[in-house]
Amino acid sequence: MKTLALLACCLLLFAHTLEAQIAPCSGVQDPGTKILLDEIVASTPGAANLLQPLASRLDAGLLQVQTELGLDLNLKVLPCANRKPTGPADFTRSVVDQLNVRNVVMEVWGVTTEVKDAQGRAVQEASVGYVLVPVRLNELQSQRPPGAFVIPYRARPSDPAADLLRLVDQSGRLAAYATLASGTRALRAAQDAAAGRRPRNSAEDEWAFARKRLCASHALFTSLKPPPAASDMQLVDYARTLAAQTITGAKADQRYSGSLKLQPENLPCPTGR
Amino acid sequence: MANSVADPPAAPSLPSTLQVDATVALTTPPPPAPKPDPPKKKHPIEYLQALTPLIIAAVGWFVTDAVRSGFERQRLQLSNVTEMRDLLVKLVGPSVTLQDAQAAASTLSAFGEAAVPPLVTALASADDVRTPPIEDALRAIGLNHAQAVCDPLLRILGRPTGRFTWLLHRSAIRVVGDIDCPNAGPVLQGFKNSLANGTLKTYDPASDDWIAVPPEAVQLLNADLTRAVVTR
Repeated sequence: MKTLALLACCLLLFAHTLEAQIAPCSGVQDPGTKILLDEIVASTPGAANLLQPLASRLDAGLLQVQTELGLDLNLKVLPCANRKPTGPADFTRSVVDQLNVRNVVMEVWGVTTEVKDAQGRAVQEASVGYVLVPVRLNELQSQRPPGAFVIPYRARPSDPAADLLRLVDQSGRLAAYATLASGTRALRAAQDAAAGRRPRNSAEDEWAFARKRLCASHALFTSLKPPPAASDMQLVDYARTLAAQTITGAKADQRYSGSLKLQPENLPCPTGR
Repeated sequence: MANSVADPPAAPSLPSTLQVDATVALTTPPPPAPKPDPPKKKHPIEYLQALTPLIIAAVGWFVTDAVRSGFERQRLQLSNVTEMRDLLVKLVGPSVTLQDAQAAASTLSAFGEAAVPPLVTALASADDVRTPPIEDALRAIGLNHAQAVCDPLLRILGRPTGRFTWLLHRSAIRVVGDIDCPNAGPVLQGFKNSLANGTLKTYDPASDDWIAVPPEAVQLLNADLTRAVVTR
């Protein structure tokens, strides 16, 4: 009996490994900065149509950031059916590098299941994974805060589809991550331009551009309801550190003559949204 | 005194020369025999005639061997194509996963030089899932058959006005740098120069036109070029 149970477990594990895969996403080669929204694997009925509503919700979240913070992130949300990463470990150096060269700043995936709580009531459980591509690249190089992580959520369902959406989006958390990823990428671009590794964008103050995004992500994190999780706190610190680096970098950049040159190095990000 | 007159004259003795002559005649070396005619020098045609069977045999063997080798090569190529077909269909198919792509590309690399053309073709349109396995496969082949991999990749890099995207250029630079292609130095340096002075254009499949290399692509290409040139 024990052997049979063990065999069944192994088969289930094997089946899960076979099922969960990183598959191509059409549109990833298109120009422009992108967010990949992978298939949300759900066990509840009605969850099959979750991808498109979630993509719309993410679009709405980004539009809200644009309206409230005056920040045009210029991100395209790309639904990727059949793409099912197993976890952060799938995002190795080569996978993340390939996403980075194709201007992907973030990838989101999730698994949702309905479970029973101690009182026997149905509870919706979701594990949502996020990869912030530029942060993950930094992490793989210098062990900075995690750029790929999974956050578990739990809620009592009333309307399964709406609850799932709420669980995955988590009150605008997606927008905060997207803004941080975009800011990290912008900072890297400014640093590369200052070091002569890429042409300078003369039409834009690249240091200020990066700082604006990083400070916006900081503001989005601190205004999250419920308050940021422990893993998010690391990212808040990370956003703050990178925002400070924009001033340090701007001051050290010989060819830069923008507004950040005159700011004190310890200038904090403005509070509130 | 008395006997001196009466003595008959001594009979003339036989001339001794007769004997002498005979002896002499016998011991005299025979007159030199007439020299035999020197062997007549053969005309080259005669040699050729003598060797004709051998030549025919050698040519026959050579022709038969060449024809047989040709047939065998063609049969091998056909067999390679047939056997590679399924792997290529899997690799470039829409539903491939990263693991499947890795397995297919890795198996393709076992075909050696024969797999280079289809792999390079697949690389030209590869996305984030297919690019790393194809690069790995070309690297694996290149370690044993450097020339077979280097030739097409260096041709791609040496002709920036071809219909090649900057992503294909980047992959080519990485593979060429890794397998240390002979004669890659001037091509890589030329590419680096045209990138540095901004004359390099990249093919944009969407518009079927050549556009300036995006700034972020310049940085990525530069990083890989530097690595490829430095490691030479």
